[in-house]
Amino acid sequence: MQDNPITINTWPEGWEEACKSLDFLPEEMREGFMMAFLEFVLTM
Amino acid sequence: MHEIYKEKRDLFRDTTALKKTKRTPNLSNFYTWKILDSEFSLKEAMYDYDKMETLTREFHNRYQFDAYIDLGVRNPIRITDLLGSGYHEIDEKNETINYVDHVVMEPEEYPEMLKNMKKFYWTKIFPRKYPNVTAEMLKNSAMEFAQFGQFTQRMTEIFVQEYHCPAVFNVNSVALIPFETFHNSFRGIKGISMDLRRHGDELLDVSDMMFETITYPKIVTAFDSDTSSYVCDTYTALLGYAILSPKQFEKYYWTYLKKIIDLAVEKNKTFFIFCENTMMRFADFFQDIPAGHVVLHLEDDDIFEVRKRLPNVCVAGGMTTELLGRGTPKECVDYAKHLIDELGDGYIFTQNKMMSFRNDCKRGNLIAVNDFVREYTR
Repeated sequence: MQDNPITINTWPEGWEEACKSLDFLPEEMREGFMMAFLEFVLTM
Repeated sequence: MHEIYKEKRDLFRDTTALKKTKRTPNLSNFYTWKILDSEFSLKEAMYDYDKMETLTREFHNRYQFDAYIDLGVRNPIRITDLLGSGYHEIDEKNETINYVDHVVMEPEEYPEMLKNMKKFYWTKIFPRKYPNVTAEMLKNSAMEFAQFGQFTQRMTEIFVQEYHCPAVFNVNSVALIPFETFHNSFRGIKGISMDLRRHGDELLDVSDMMFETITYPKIVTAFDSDTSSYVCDTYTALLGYAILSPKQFEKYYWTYLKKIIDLAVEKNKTFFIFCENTMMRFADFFQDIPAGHVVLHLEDDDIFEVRKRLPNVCVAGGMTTELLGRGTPKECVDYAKHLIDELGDGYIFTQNKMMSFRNDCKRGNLIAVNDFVREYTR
């Protein structure tokens, strides 16, 4: 399977950046929200 | 809590506990058909939450179910559209929403997922499922996800406060059985079938990890909180089990289901299981569980046969799309009466399918059936 080499999907830098970008949420909620979001869109 | 709400909630709770009730509770299992029954097209409704709210309200005003499994919140494609691609195809001409079976995980990757699931999701599954996502697209989709959460909450509040219909379950207490993720979302039906033979132990290791770190803690939290305002305390839908033998079912499903059921019994809670396809060949697993804690919502099974084999569980379903879609109002009402009379206590009246297609139901039949079920006492 060919993986797409886009930069946001690096670990842990891309993940941390993505969580940080959720600035519409309080900081302490961002990682949990991102994980819930990820689980949701991956199983849709 | 409003008296009507309490009455409906107790009707479901007492039925689940196999107690005698004044009448049979009527549960809606209607999904896309609601849209087809409205003035809106599929796209109009699915892309506009206000329109979805309008048609869901109209659906309730017309049919007056006691509770609704779906309040217009299935298939939130606005979220995945913002990620550049989705797997739902809306076909307005044929009035269908098609889901494309797809593969985003290789069979050799179970150990990698076991090692660090979050990293695996982020670096492998997400970019394969949604290629070319930029930081901006991700943020917009996440914001849409938050809006969708608000819409879901708003719909629940409308139905609880204005219509006094109990919510069926808390979305935070859904018990996902790990096999479903691989079957429905990651490996495709063909892929997971091959994995059962070639990577069965690795699949089981990851399933154990997912159950122990995600599903079970969620259920423990749900059972320790007050879920008494809902129809049931936890909910799951089973589909992937359709490809399994009883021996495989025991390994990939029953171990986990049993653990949840045991906890439900210990904490005096209830577990609603939507059994897509057929569960009959797994019925023996359920025969020794204590009475009054489990609801089995049946799709293709003979509900009368399940009732006979499992007098310890509440059964739901029975009203067929064949009759609702092609029968006359009288035929539908006669069969509804037969279901209620024969199945007796511990029966939740509902449809045997997720009602999705135009021919699944006719408006006049549904009005006649619901008028009857609301008034009928055995």
